[in-house]
Amino acid sequence: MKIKLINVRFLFEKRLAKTIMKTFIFLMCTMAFCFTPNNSFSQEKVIIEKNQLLTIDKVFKIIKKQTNFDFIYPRRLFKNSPKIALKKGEIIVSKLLEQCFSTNDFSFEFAEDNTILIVEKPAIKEVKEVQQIEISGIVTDNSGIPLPGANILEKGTTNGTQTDFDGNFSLMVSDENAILVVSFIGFTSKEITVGEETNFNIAISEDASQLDEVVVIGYGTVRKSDLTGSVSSLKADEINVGSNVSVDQMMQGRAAGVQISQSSSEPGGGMSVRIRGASSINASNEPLYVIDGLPIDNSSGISASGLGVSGFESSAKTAINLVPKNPLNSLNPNDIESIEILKDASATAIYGSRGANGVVLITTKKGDKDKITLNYSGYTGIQNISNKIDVLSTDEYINFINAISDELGETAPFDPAAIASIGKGTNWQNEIYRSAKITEQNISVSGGLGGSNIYASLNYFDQEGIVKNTGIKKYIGRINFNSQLSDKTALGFNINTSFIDDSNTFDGLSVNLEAGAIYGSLLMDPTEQIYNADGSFSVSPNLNINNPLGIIEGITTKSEANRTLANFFITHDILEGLQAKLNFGSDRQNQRRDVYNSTLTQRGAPAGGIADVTQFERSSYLGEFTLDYSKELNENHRINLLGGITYQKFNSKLLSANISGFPTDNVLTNALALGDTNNDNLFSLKEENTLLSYLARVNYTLLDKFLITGSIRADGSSRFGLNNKYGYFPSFAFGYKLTEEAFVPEVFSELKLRASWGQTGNQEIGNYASQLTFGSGGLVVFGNTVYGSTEPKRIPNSDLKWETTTQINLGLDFGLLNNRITGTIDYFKKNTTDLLFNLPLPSASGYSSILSNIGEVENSGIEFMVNSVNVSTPDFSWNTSLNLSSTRNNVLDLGSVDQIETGNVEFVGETSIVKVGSPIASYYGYEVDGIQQSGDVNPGFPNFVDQNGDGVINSDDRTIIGNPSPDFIYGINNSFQYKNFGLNFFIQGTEGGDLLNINLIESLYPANLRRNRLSDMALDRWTPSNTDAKWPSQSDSSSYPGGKVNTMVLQDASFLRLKNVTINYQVPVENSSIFSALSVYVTGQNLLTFTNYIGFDPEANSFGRSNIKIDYSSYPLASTILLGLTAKF
Amino acid sequence: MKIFKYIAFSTITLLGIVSCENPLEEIVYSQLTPDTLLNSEKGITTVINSAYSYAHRSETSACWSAFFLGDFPSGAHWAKGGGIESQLTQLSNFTFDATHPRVKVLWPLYYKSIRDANIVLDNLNNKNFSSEFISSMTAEAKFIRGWSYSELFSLYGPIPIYTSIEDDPVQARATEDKTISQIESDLFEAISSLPDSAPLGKATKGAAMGILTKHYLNTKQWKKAADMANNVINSGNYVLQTKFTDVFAFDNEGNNEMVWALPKLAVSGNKVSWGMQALIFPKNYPLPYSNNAVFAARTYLFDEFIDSFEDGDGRLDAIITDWKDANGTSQAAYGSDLSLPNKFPFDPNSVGWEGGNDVPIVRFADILLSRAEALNELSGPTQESIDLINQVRARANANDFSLGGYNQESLRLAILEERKREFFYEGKLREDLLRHNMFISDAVARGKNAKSHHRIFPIPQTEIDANELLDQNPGY
Repeated sequence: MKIKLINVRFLFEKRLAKTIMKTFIFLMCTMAFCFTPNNSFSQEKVIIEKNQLLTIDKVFKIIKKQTNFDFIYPRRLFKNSPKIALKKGEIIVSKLLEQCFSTNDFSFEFAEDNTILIVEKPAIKEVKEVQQIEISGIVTDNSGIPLPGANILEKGTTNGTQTDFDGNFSLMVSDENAILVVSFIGFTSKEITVGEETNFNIAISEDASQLDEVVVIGYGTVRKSDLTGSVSSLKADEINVGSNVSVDQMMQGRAAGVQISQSSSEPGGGMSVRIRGASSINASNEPLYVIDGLPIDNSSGISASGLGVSGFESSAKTAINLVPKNPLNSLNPNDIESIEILKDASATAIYGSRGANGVVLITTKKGDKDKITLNYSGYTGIQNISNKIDVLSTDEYINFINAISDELGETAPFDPAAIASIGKGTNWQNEIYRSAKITEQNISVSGGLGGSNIYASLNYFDQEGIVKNTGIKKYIGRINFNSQLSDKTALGFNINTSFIDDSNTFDGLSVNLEAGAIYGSLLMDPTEQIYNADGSFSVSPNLNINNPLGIIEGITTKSEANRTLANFFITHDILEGLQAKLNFGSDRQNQRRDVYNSTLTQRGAPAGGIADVTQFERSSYLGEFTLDYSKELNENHRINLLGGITYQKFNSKLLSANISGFPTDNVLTNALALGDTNNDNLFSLKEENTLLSYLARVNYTLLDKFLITGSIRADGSSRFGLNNKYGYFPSFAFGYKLTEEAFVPEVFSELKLRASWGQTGNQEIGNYASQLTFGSGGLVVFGNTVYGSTEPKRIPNSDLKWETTTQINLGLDFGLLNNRITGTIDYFKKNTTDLLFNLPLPSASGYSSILSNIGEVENSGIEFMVNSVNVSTPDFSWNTSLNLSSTRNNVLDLGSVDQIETGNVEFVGETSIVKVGSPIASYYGYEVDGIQQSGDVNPGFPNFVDQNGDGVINSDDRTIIGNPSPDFIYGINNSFQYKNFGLNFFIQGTEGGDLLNINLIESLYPANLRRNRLSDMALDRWTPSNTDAKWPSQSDSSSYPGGKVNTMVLQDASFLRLKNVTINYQVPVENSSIFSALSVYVTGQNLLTFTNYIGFDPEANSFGRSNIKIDYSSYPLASTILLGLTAKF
Repeated sequence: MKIFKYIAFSTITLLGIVSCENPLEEIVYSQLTPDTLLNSEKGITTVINSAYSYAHRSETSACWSAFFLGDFPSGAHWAKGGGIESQLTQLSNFTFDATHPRVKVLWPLYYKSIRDANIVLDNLNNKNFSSEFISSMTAEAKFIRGWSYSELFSLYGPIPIYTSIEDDPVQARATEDKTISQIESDLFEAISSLPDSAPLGKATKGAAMGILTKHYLNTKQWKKAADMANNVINSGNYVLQTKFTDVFAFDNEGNNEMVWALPKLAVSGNKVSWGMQALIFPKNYPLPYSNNAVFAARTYLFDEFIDSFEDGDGRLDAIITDWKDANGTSQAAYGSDLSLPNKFPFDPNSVGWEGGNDVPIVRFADILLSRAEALNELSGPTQESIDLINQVRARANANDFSLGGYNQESLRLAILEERKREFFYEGKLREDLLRHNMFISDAVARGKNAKSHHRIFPIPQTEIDANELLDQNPGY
């Protein structure tokens, strides 16, 4: 996968051109056998209503409509042919056709069944004259890449040839005055007089309109050269889709200013996406996703242990896991045509109150070939844990525990006899991890006939987790259909349906017996055996931790999720340039999670097994009407107007049941009624919210040099207070194509300045936040009976409204050396005001906070992206793309408070702070400046810094000790092509962020002496003989002053990762009657990570998508090797 | 114009979808609006249930915290193991501060019960409600509010007072006098209308009198304390159980020694259950029922405390001084300060560590000793005081005190010692020591760095941060 590379596209188009030509020749041959040409020219006429300029396709439509003739040709064949000037009146069909084909390389023949066959003009015509001069040469593009299949024609004759696969040609021409016409699809034709030369080196340029690739923007598309906003465009056909398991993973590291972190490496685990930093403290910071025009609710469904739904937590005595499953799991990465990431306000303001965190537009493939093609891709591979956390081995553990016990004046627990009976003990990490299989099979059909086309795909994905008993299976199907009903009306639909079946771990924020296997494997006493003599799972008499394997075997958690995304649209051309569009969409999700905590665990056993079933439904529907008007007033004025109304309604329903006390573990969650009905809990919920919006946009291009965009959206949301139902979100942008100016040096093939200003909103606060409502309160016992209760859920705020983000953006797009080097630089500043902020109230009022519009957060940054063709020769090419961005986040105002502590972790306390003048969720704790030495008060103790100098270490000495956001993030992609071999490697990294690893705290401040420790910490601890140790002595760490959140355990989370390496081979298929393309590849993922971070993954976050970042027994990263194949039939 | 036809058609189609009158109206489905809830007696009852729920220390961690704050700084026992060890060590060593999790948890809890009581009181002026309902709800709400304020005052000193839900959320601290009199007036008003008996956990006249007795005693209003204790005694509704361990026995829950107790049930979900045993007994202790479970933390009594009992004192039955582990190996407890308090037996119906032991707050024994103490403070040793003490000692099979042996000072200390033996592990020692001005001096004598400001706990830091009118307790 890589970012759009102009020069890579050259290569691609070369292949594409070849493919089209081959397809065409194939078609021709087939048809030649099928039809006998009808040589009697039709004298049928058609009526042209007025003088007009029409595309060839439109001309054909006219012919089709007025005659019985039908056409067979690839749909986009005439995309680049000039328009045909038609005069009012009658014209004979054959004349009209001749006119159509006068400017291109095609001709036509009448076949039976009134079919008109479009054929390529014969490349080499029979030589009718005696040739006088033999010439030869090579045809290349501007960057010197040879163009195979280019046409060379002697002007005014039918004498011509084609270049071979290396771009060479030779031709006999009549005389020195002969003019060569060199043409190639997608390139501007060139005429050369032969003169005295016999050897030609002919370079032709890409057609300017070809440079204008189209970029999808909100409610429309725009030519890339006319873009005024900051948009990262990723085209899937250029990037290595095959080995990405989710759509957001495809984007990871590819777009400047977009930080995508894998919160959990669990199969199907969620991602955290931050476009240009975090601007909200309490509302969501995730972007809006719009799939084929349908904005989806991307909030998490049911997480491994509970829900993303307020007011409810599952209670199967398993860990609190805040990392949601990835809501984009229901999309098949192979279906993606392009992903556009809208970053600045000019691009996002059209999405109004949902645009503040950026917008990700996902466009899926359309069936756009004239014949049915069948594509298959698949891979299979193996995953292994990329690195384990080094904990004490059995021997090290015995020595360490004995030594610590000595220091504490306690009897050493392991005497020689005990040591002898232990043997080699248990390496718990080895027990819970495995080599895991991963496989994907994808098949798609693409094609069209007449005015209709279809793309359909089926995807099967099966990934085992590297932690035993975890994994995910996905089954996804898609049908995209488009049909031109008449020359004015078209309709289409996209349907994507998925079924996802997954099994999870429980590791998260919980401790002790509620924690999961990963937690257990790090802390379990390695001298314990896995099984008792009777085969049951052993229970440590010393530790309050479940046997890690007991957890894996003993807890079943399964989720089955169905999600169907569908939209249906009709467009109608009302007038020339004026198009109306109706779009209806629906997103239906249905998820059920079953958790059973059996009697094999220490929580499940006394409860007699605990079953928990949660059924969750969420849906939305969309109705949308837009009018789009495009007009080219004359060469100097181009205008596009858009207006629309859109309505979207979301609802969710939940039912959850929990019961314990089963006679047997066998029924799992399948017979809740068998449980003890004194111990059951029920919960249900229904919520709705609505958006009603009006939008308008104008794009104006003056002299093809100045670009002006303005947009506004009026957004009404049910979530806001009675006094503030509607918000207005305007934007303006200005673009200046400097390449049109004489003062710009020739070296710039492209240079465009962009500037934008705009406002966007954020309304992701959940429902009912403006109203006073009462919900279920605590239970209460009177006598021996339990009663329910109701309590107020909040202090109402009828003035509640959206957050407003005002963003300015300055950008520069450039292309150098004929676009051999292209790039983009952007500077932005985003100020978010009226924050949806839980303003703390004195809890004595009965409420801890009131959701208010208070405060301000600023994000500013620079993004840089460059693509370069380093080497480009016929046999070897090397392209590099690099993106780098830096975002600074700063809290400017919090209303009546200065700071809020947050990020509570059990037995650790608050880890983070939101404080004016600092980045959101900065780490807040104690500074340690060394270890006390012999002669100091407490030798071996860490030395806590007395920040306020009052002689006491207490909570007043806490200070900001780190920042969870990196200073900058980057991605570098290199691709090499040597003949049929390709090599691609992708490096991704972050620099400068910190991460608090609670596992280090667990090791430094063990809840129990007998818990295992991290080797690094235990083996390099202070002792009177190891005075320059990295870590304190740890013999009495519960007596350390200060707190557990301190600079000893906060780590630098910078990393550089070799994310993906792919070697592929294009199998030559020229002679194959089966394949039209075939390629095999080997991919390695996460093969190398360079970091000083101690832990599984410096990207992990146990708080999921939150701004607060901590790592607590995160699911380890896997290194993966895949073997894959793609084939086209 | 054709174009308008299209627009009109499409707009109508779209508006067809947006059919309801006000498309942006937010309809509440699974929560209740004040209109629907607060206009019915049933609705008001569910709100007062929420007030009770908080007043009963609704969460396990709140139940624990009340015990920890009462007993660990006063040196009643010590603890080891588990993630909680460092928290308890801080309480024992007086190194806690305003961010201590155990200090933080009770403040919002009692204030939420006050909030819900105030919602009830603010909404009783409703013609749909019967006068009996209004009277009993008023009394119950004031009882809950008085109880919650008395707990807050005991922990944090003078505090902001809210008497209506309309009060400004940001309030300054009330004076000490105002706080004390608010508690007195709430409970006093409650006494006049509350019934003599109700299901355990509901407000009764006796419970209100019992809490008020303790409030008077702790604020050293000796005369009022003695009189109010006498009212409880004279009500005739309460007696001592014949056997000490019966007071806490499962089959005797709701017994008439409990003047005010917080009822708990072993129901999974950590809502009305709690489990003190889980923090006492070691992992290798033979648990009596298969559905019991314990944590890594353990809580121990000092040998010195065991030594303070006479031989044969029935209260020793609630202490484990030696035991055999699950493998039958003898484990010495007494002799190494490792005796285990066993006042609250394992619940045969527990769901794992979650048990249903009721939480005793004011026992009749406490009323007897309180009156004895108040009388001694008022006029020195009298036969009535000695008799009151002897009622409690007799139940424990301990020898009688005799009037001749005591002056005011020595009887004061004897009552304190008696209270230690009677109420160990009930979270009472802190307030008892405070009354005798021994809380700090005892701690200093144990080698702790206790200062006079430690007599009350710091107000949670988050509260100080959120309330500009509130100053931290001095010294923190």
